[in-house]
Amino acid sequence: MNMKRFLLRTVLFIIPIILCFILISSYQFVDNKYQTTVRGKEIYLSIRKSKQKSKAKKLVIGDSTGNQLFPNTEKNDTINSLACNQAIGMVGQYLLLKNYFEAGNKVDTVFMIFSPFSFQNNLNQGFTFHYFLKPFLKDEYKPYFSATVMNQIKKIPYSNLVRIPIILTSNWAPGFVCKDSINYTFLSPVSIEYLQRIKVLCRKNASKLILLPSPLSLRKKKLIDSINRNEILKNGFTDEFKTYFEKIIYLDERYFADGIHLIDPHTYTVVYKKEWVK
Amino acid sequence: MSVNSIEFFLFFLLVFFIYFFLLKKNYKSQNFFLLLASYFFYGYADLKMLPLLVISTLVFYSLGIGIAKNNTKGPKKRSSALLTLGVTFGVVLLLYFKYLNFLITSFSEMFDSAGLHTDIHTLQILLPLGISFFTFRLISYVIEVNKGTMEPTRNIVTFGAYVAFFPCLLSGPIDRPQKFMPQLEKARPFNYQLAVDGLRQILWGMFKKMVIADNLATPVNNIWTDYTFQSGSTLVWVAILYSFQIYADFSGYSDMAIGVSKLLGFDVAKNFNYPYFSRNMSEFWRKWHMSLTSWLTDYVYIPLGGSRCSKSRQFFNTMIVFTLCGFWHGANWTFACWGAYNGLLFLPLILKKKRKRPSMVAEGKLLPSFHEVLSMIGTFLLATFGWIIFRADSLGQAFDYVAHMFKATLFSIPAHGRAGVFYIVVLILIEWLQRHHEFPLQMENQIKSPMLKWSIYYVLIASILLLAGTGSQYIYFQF
Repeated sequence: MNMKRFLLRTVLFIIPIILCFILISSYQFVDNKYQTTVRGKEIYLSIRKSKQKSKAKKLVIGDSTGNQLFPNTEKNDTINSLACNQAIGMVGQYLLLKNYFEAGNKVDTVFMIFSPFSFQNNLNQGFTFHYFLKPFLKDEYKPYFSATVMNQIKKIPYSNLVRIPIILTSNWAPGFVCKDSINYTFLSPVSIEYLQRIKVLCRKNASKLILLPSPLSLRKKKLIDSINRNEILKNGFTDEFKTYFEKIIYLDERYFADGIHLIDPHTYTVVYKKEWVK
Repeated sequence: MSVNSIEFFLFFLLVFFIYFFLLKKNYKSQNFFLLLASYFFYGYADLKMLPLLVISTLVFYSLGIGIAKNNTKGPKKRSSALLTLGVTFGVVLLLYFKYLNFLITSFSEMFDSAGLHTDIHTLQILLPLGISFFTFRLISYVIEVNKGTMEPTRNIVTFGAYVAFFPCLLSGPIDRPQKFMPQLEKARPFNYQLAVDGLRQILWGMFKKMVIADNLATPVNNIWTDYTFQSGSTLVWVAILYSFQIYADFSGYSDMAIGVSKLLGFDVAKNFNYPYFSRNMSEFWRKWHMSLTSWLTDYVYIPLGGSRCSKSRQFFNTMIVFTLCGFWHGANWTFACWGAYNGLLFLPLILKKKRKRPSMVAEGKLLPSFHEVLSMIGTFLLATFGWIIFRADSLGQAFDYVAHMFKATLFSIPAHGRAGVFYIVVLILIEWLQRHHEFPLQMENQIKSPMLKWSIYYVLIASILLLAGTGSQYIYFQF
């Protein structure tokens, strides 16, 4: 009797929660509203922008540090930015670029603004589920996933549930700690594969690819110096990284909010525009 | 599998239904199933170490029977020898898995600093999850059997279920055998009131962990990574945030573990009693991690002479207990130092004989007196200073952090973690108003309307869904 009462009341209590969940997530799913409210909304914005026509002859792709310097929220006819977040990995950057060219856009130069640490992303992070799988694990993009990418996706728990509205429209992600041993200091296998594809894609569309580093804390200099440059050489990226490390602007730690992101990025946007993105 | 994960929810749902629907008529089958579920839970988290848990259980089970046999029939000396063997076995387990590498490194550093180069290498030892918790449960069992306060169980399943009881296996509370095992030896029909209370406690625990602790974790972790570049006021503020983070994290886990136990019909030890409303450190330690404190009091402090001895001896005993308490948390001098620091704070209380206080501040009143407010703030700040040592990776880092606090920028406005004010105020307000209860959602006497109660639960659930911070691992899992 007690148990029946307990179960009945628990179910009665839970029903409104489930209903609310279903209603809110369905509503958000149907009109894609979740793409402007969930964490990582900058990724959805970049995806939308990547499918739109633009007159800009310069395109910026990159991680959140690139997004700080060239926000993807800004409308600009000279420089268009799709820079969003490192968590989408190099494969996400490739897909954005692919969309952009497929939309019929012509660009002279593609600037990839990446913190040196973002190249390490091998879709092996806790963020991968929410920031990469949710926006990109769909039929539209699956044909472009290499075996390496598929293999990484398989390691993430519940990756097959990612398209369920209630999961897709929420910030929920399973706790995931990748236990793979890492035998690279700079370029992850996924980055190597997709940087290669980005190179080919740019060449095919007669665009020049330029890799630019974001400003770094002086404290990270030792770490940067310890990067094994052979990884660049042996994977055939010598040209792309020729001046990459030289261009790193080292700043005192006090200019960073968290050691990576600048407190006042606009000052450096001016520098980038003057020196490189011109 | 943490208690607030989907995996645990599914696991527990299955356990609950088998436990109360298929096995409800036979508590022995329930115990056996509980043991299997607990081993599955442990194996899921740490399969390699499951044999260690099983072997330790078997050893202590045999020791318990041996001690009792010799206590009644055989020579007393033999039961004492078996007890010593048991305690030594438990201590050796801890020493080997938790402290051996630390001892090797410490000795090596000591010799190196004396100019004697040593070529000692550390060993590759995996730390079994929850070892500090289950070892203490095992040790308390043989001690209690030897004292004669309880009969040893002849049923290995009952004993195994006590040692490995899954809700409390990884982070406590550390239940005493004389309180817990009798519950395993009688029928446990479904208890509606206990189950509802358990659900409420789980909800409150989830709120503390996911909303308070996880949101405070982000600024705390960020600032601790780069503390040398922060203003003094930011460092002070982050130390305060950490005090609330560790409290919400650990007490949140304890609440969830206790709640899950209640759902299964068990009444387990309370672990926290609003410690930040304490007026001195003695009161604080009677309200913080209570199951560990009482364990150390009963099995270390009192056997050493407790407080029925000279003041110098009392102080010595207190220092021993607190240093041990520190070391229990981990193999690092920071923990030992944190323990010793807390022991030192007892010195004035021992000298003034000012250790006993009424259990609740502002009893029967809405607001505390000015003197009580000052005492609570003072105690909180003393505890917070201790948490800096506790949080640091090394003693050098702890001193460095404190040194950076006292810069010219000490009186500036903290640059980071200001949103933490919101979470702290919410926590303090709720807990203050409900401090008369085991946990704040026990409000039967205050709120009669079920609608209003349900509305409060819905608000908490909504805040968990909307405000939950980035999930971080439970701080106490590492111990």
